[in-house]
Amino acid sequence: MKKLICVLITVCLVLSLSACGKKEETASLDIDVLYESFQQYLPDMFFPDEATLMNFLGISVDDCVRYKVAICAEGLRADEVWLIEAKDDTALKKLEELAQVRIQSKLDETETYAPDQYLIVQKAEVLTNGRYLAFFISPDVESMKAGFEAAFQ
Amino acid sequence: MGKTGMRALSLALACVVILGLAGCGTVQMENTEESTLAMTAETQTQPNPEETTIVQETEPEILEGSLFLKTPSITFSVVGESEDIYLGVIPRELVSWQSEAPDVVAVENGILIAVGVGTTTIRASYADREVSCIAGCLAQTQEELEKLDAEVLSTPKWLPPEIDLEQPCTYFDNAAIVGDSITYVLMQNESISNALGDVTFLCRGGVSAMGFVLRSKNLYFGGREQFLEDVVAQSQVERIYVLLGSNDVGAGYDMDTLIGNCRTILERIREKSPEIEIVWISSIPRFNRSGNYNTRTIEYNSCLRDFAKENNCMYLDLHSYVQDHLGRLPNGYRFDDTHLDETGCNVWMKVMRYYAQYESEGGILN
Repeated sequence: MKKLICVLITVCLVLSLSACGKKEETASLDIDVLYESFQQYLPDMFFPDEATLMNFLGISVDDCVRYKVAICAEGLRADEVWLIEAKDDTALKKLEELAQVRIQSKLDETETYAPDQYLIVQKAEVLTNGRYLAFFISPDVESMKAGFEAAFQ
Repeated sequence: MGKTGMRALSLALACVVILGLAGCGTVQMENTEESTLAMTAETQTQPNPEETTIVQETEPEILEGSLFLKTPSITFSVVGESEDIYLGVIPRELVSWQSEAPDVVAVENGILIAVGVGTTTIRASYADREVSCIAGCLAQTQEELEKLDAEVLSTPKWLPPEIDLEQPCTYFDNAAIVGDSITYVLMQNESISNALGDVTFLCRGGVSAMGFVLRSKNLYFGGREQFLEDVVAQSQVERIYVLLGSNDVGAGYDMDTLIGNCRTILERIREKSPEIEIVWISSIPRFNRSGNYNTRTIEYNSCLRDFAKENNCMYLDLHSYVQDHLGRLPNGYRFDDTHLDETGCNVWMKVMRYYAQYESEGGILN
């Protein structure tokens, strides 16, 4: 009887640990590595500092566990990438809303004087997986979308 | 005691009083450093006329501060053009001016005049300080000018101040730059170089003074669209630099409307941020000469300068640094007809830093 209880406890422990392990695996997505894999699709980008993230995009770094936000540094191209691990579900929802606001802002900006960029912004993607958010504005949005989805497989 | 005795006694008393007072003076002067400083201060406020005369004759007062020229290099397009290149700090009347070749560019009191084709050096000096400016002229006449190579015609007339953008900068830590896509491009470049330190950018492509006034196109701040004056108030900066006008001049509004919009913007900002300092930056030309955009921009800038002065604001002339010999945006400063490229943005940042340095020595932007 004692042996059976021991085996059951061990099995429970192993199962719970393996479950934890799965969660860890999801949470350990390397945002920097993922971003590097997207660089082939992107022009020169700049990375806004904390104040600019807040002022310009409304992103509070307090809502982020990790983040990589890049905006095109070349002329008036609309390219933009956000890769963010949100702090919690509330933060994730907020970030999703900010991404939608950003799309609307970019659409308003480009509609009148940059019709080629307007078409690119129209195809912008906001994706989530767990507490990860990805936001892409790029002529190669499909490639980046596929890259983000593949990172979780 | 007789009359003679009384007189002798009075004389003796007077001597005692005079000697006593003189003794006190000596003690005070030799007493402590503080007393010496006090005496020095007293001497400065109530000088002995004799001593003052001597000091004035032998040691004229030397003022602190630099000589600020607007540009280290100016190239006039045709003979007869003139330009005041003195920005200030040391009073103009104390500065000595000299041209190495007055038959090319002559100088008087900081005002340069193109006399002949060529290049020379202009020197300004005061006490132990000297600054110089390379000054030249391309052609005798407009016809001769227009025959010159297109590349030459598209070079900037003024070179930017010599500022090392790699040196750290804190002048703008409590300042914001407000503008449209021209400012947005500056933000892109500054975010990489960090040449303006912790400056805040409040900009959005396509915005205009008219759009702000009508509330039809506003700024995004903190993740939502808001009115300009609310964004300025929330940014909590002490000074804003405003560069608008490109989309307004381009839309063809008359000068009264353009300046009227600036007035409305100013009133709204001051209502929400009464203490804020406002610097209006001159609008910049475009490369394409079709239409009258560049001529209207010059007219707008002149009105804007007057408006700034009348309304206790400051004015920063960026236009002069980014125009070529045909009044356009220089070829090497642009990536399209309207927007500055990295080189052009560096010119803008050098101008801002130089004028901030000038202000730090007591200069006034006007």
